[in-house]
Amino acid sequence: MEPPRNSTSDLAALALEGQSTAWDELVRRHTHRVVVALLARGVGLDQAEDLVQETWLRLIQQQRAGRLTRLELPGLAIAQARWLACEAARTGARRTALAGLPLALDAVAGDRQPADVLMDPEHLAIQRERLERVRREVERCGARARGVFAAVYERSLSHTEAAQEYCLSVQRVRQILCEIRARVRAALREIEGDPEP
Amino acid sequence: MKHLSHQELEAIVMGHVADAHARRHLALCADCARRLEREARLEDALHEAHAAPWSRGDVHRPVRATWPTLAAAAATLLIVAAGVVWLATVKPMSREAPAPAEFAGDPPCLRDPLTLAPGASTEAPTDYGMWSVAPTESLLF
Repeated sequence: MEPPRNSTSDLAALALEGQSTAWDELVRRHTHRVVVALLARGVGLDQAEDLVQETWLRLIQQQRAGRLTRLELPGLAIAQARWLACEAARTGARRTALAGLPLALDAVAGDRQPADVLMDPEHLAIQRERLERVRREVERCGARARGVFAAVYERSLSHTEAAQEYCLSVQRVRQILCEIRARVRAALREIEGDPEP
Repeated sequence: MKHLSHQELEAIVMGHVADAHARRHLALCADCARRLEREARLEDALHEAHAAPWSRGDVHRPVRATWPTLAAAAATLLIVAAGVVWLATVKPMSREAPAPAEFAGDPPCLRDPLTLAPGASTEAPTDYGMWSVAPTESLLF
């Protein structure tokens, strides 16, 4: 019989005590989420994966040094990874400046975003509207689709685990998720005016 | 140069490991990198939407009524019905006014003035000051 799946908070408590298996499971469960958060900020795929590895290493080091009292995931890992991405962008910009090359706008964008853009009330309002629209679209889906969606996006189950829980094939789970994504994409395109399909 | 398909980009943000060809292409093609970023923003929004507080209480696991739940509901219904029947059949309670309380002392303004003393009256006293002028004879006699 398969052992019960620990919640993220249980695993976080074990990880704070230094249990390496708990860290392994947390890394396995949340790595992709953190990579996606970086990709959404315009970081390249390879660099995003490197930064996420660096993020986990730093968190484990902090825990071993006794400087980590709370571990809320994936939020803490995402914040740490974004900070590392900003640092990488700043370093790149400095190197470019030292080499006497004109500064690329992309390089300074990462430096500017966290403080200036993310806390901007207009940006926050747009984000809230986006999330509200996403939620409405998901709520309009059928009960089973919502269940699969919650299993994957809320409880961080893999597609295989979600398929087992709902007695579906993995292919069907992916199909359901793609259908939800298509629906949400179309809804967001309406409010953002994105012409590209 | 052949761009990555929408399905390939979607698979990457949904957790599939990108192959070497896709990685090379993403490193070189700004257009595909931008499309990947857009897909990742959508994926990020889906995660964020579920993390938001208003998304709690989803109905993905319907709660089935079990026999203890049904028994408790039946018992509650029975008690309510018995109460209604009892209220309809029992005599209404007596509505007699309670006896006036006896005052231990003699609080002022609470007793009938007639009982205060012999000759006591509740009639207004005569206004002796009403005659400001001397009365005429017709009034006197």
